[in-house]
Amino acid sequence: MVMIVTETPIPDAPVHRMALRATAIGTVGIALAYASAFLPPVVAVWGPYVMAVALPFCMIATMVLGATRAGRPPGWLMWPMALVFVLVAGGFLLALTMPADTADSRLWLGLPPRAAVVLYGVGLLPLFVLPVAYAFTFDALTLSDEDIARVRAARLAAHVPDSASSGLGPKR
Amino acid sequence: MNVSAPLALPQEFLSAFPLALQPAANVPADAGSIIAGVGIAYFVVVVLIGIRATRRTRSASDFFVAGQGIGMFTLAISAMAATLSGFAFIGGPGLVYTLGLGAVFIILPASLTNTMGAWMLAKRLRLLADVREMITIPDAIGARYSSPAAQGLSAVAIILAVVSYMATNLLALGLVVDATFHVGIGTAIWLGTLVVLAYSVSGGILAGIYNDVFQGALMAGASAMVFWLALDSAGGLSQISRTLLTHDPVLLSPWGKLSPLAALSFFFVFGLGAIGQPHVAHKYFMLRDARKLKWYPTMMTIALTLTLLLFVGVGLAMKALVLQGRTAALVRADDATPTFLLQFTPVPLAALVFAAVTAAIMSTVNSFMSIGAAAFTHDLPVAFGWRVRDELRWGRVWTVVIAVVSAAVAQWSGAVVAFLGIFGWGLFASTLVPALAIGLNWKGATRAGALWSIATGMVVTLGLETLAFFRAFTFPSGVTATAIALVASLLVFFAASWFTRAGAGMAIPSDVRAVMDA
Repeated sequence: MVMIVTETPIPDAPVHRMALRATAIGTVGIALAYASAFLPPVVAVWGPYVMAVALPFCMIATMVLGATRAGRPPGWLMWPMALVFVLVAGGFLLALTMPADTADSRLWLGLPPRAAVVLYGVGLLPLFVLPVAYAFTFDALTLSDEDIARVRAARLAAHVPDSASSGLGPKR
Repeated sequence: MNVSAPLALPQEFLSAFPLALQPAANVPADAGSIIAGVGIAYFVVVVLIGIRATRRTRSASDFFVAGQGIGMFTLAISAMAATLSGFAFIGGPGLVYTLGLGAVFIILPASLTNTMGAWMLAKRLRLLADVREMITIPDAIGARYSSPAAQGLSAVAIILAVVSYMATNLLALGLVVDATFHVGIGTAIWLGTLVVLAYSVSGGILAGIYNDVFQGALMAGASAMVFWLALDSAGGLSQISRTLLTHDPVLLSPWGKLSPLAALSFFFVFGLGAIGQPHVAHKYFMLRDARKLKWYPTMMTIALTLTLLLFVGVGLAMKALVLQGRTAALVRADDATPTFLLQFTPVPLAALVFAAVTAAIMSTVNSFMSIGAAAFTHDLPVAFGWRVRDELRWGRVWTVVIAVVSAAVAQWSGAVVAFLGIFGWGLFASTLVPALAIGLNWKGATRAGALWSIATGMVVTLGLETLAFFRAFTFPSGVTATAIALVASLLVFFAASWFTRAGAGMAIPSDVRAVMDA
C-alpha cells in the first residue's frame, strides 16, 4: 500500500462545513424522533413533527454536501435545494396539521387535500426541480473539462506502485 | 414451505420488502398459455442478449464493470432496473391496497434520491475510476481511506447482504416462474436461478447491463400502460378518491393506516438508505465519460417514475374496484396486481407485466451476483494482501457459488427468508451510506470513523433484526431495526471521525483528494 501525501489540502468552503454540521444535526433530529416512540404516547406527540423537519433537513444537507466543491460556494443551486426543503418539510407538516378529509372534501387534482399535498408536493414537484437544476448547473457547478483535466493530472503525478491492480494504488 | 408465517418484525415494514412472498393468484387456463408463451419468449430474448454479451466479455474489467464503456441512457435504465425488484409490481401494490397512502412513502423519496445519488456519489465514483482501478464499491472505500481493512470489512458486509437479499429475490423469482409455468416452487427457484446464472456467468455485468436495458424498457412500458388502465377501470382518479373517502377514508389520509412516524420512517430508510445500495452505485464506474452524468438524474427519474406508476395506481384502483362491488375482495393483498391484470386488462398485456415482474427480479439478482462475486474475487484478496491471477475465471466461479448458496437459502429457509431480505437492505444502508456516501464528500472523515461505522452497521443490523425475529424485543410503532442501524452508524461515523480527526485531510492520497475536490 502506498500513501501519497500532499502538503496543503484545499480548505472546504464554509457552506460545505455548514452542510456537514447540518447533516449531523439532522441525523441527531432523526434519532430523537425515533427515541420519542419509546416514550408514553401522550409525551411522544412531538416525534413525528421532529422527523418531518429533521428528515428533509438531513437529506437536503447531504445534497449540499455532495454538490459543494472545494473552496467554492454552490451558487444559485442553493435556491432549488431550499425550495425542495420547503416542499418536503412543508408537505409533511401540512399533512400533520391539516384537518382530516371527509367524503365531502373538495378534491385537488383528483385527490383529497392532505393526500394531494403529500403525493403532488412531496412526491411529484421535486421531480421537476432537482434533476433539472442538476443538469442546468452541471457544467458550471458540478463537473467541467478543467476539473477532469485536474483529476487526470493528479493521476499522472501519483506514484505507480506494485499494487496498482487494486483501488489501493493509482492507476497505471 | 411456509413463507408467510407471522414474524416478529413490524408488519408494515416486513411486507414492504422487495418481493411478493405469496404465490401469485391462480391463472385461468385460457390466459395461462399466452402468459407462458410470452414468458418463454422473454427468456429466449434474455438468453440471446446474454450470448451476445458473452462474446464481448474478455477481461475482469468487462466482467465486473462492463469495460467502463456504457452511455448515459444505458446507465439510467440499468440503474432503474437494478433498483426495482418484483416488489414494485406485486408486493408494493398489495401494500397500497392494505395500508393506503402510507405505503407510498416507500417510493416517495424517489423524487430526491436519484439527484442526491448523483451529487453524492456518481461524479466522485466515476472520477475515482479514472485515477484508480475501480472494480467494486469496497475498492472505493479502500482508496478513500487507504485501508485494506475498510475494504475487506465492507466486502464482508456486502457478501452477507448479497446472499440474504438474493435469497429473497430468488424466492420471488421462483414464485413468478411457478405461477407462469406451474412447475412447483422448488423447481421454479432453481429454473429461475439457472437462467440468470447462465447469462451472469458467461457475460458478467456486461450481459446484465444489456439485459437491464431490455428489462427496464419492458418494466417502464408495462407499468405505464397498466397505470392508465387502472385509473380508467375504476372511473378515474376522482372517482377512486370519492369511493375510498366514502368507504374507507383512512386509506387516503397522508399516512394511510400507518402512524405518521412509521410512514416517515419509510421515507428515511428508503430515501437516505437508497444511496448506500451498492448494486446501483457500482454502475457509476461503468460510465464511458463522467460528463455524460449531466442528464443522468433526469433520465433515471423519468424511467423510475414511469415504472413506479403501477405501484400506486393498481393498489388504489383495486381497492376502489372492490369497494364499488366490481370485483371480489382479495384473499391476499399481494393478489392485487395479478387479479387486476387478469380481470381488467387484455391477456397479452397481463402476460407482458408478468414478464416485467420476472425482468425486475432478474435484473436485481444479476447485479447482486456481480457485486457478490467481485467481493470474493477482488476485495477479500486485496484486504488480505493476496493476488488473484485470473480474476475473470474466479469471478465466474464465485458467481456460481453465490447463486447456488442463495438459491439453497431461498428454498430451505422458510420464514427466515423475509428476515434475510430486510437484513440485506439494512446492512447495505447502514454500512455504506456513512463510509462511502458521506466519506467521499468529507475530507475530515477518518479510517477509524469508516471502520467503526461499518462495524456498527453490521452489529446493530444483525443484532436488532435477530432480536426482533425471535420476538425477544418488540419495537414501538414506526421504529425499525434498519432505521436504528442507519442512524447509529451515521452517528458513530461522525463521532469516531471527530475524535480521530488529527491529520485526517493530510492522510488522503493526492489523486483521491483531487477527485474529492472536483
